Amino acid sequence: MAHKTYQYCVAENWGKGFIEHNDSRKIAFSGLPGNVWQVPAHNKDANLWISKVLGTVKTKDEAQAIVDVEVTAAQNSWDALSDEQKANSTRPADIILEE
Amino acid sequence: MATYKEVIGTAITNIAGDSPTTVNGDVWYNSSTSIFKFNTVLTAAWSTGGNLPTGTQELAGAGTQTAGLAFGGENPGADQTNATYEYNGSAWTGGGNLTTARYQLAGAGTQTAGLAFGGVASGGSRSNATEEYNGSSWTNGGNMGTARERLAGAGTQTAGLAVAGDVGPKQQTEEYNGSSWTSGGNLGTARYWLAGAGIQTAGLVFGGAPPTGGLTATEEYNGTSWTNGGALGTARYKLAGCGLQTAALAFGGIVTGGVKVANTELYDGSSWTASAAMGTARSILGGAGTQTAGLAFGGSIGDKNQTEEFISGAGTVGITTT
Repeated sequence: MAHKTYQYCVAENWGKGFIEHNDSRKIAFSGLPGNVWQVPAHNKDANLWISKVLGTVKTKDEAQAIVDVEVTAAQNSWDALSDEQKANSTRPADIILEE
Repeated sequence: MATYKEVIGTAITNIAGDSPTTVNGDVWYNSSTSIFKFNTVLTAAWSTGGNLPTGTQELAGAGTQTAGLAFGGENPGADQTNATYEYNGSAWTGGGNLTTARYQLAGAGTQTAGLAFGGVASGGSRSNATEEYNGSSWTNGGNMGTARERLAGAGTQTAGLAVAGDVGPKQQTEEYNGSSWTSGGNLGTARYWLAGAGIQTAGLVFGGAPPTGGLTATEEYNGTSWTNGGALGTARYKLAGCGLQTAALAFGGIVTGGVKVANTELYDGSSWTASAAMGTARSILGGAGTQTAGLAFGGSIGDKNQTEEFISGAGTVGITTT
């Protein structure tokens, strides 16, 4: 079985206190569309943080599906822009989650 | 076991409060709180701050981490906004509205003496309008000589700096004196969607576009002309910045391939070094504060309302004994 580098959860960022400086010093966070958060796997601090924020753990594929919905919606919105508007902005890039 | 005095050569100082020094490694006993304390250099880190009431991107910022100001921008699914929000270190509350709703504007100053200039107003018209904030409402200031958007701002309400942007040669600088703008020295590298920091006589700009993948170029202003500074480690545009010419902070942005980044870099007056990344990658965000207490808010990210607070530098750690 492949060793996992990351784990994923869904948690709504309520603002102040959601990620504290000490959390950030111990855990490498990556916030993704759809309230998906990528944190290190097999990591006690990350597990405690997921519990603290009442996060719902997702598999990589489940998290990818949530992210894809958000990215596709953003890409569709961009595709519907006029050529002038497109010239002034950047098409949202695909996001590929890692195991 | 050897005593502290035997090892270090001096006894631990007894102070009715915190040490007046900030020397790394200083140890003392705070007799007021009965806690042993020591000064240490804290690892830089971002944390989440209070969310903006409304998701906003392409906005501007001013002020500090505990007295920040966010204004203008674009709300999701809507056009330009004239909304202003004030941050107190934990939550945003509504302030007075801009007279001219606009996005891709620039800002400078403080929460109680802010400055907004440039941007794209209703109907897509490029704006040269300047507005001054007094802590509760905006009033019109002198117009910039050249209307422009996606520019950088720095300085104060009475000594502001508007740099580059998407107009003409994209190198123009203007200086504000509290009532009118005059021309300054041209940037060496034409650009827009750059970030700025510092003051009118010691300004700093970094990053930007073109090219599509962004620039690493940094330039320093002395009140008259621009000279090259150290290059950013990560080329990017649509980033934010804050701080001073000799102590600046760069964060977020877009790199090659249209990918948003969370990268943070610190400038010391000659070179950039990588620091702790933001929790969430984002572009076209707002920035405020200092190199040791920065503030990132809004931008092209999820609900576009998220705030993050950066800290680095010396701090005090307490050790409670029983």
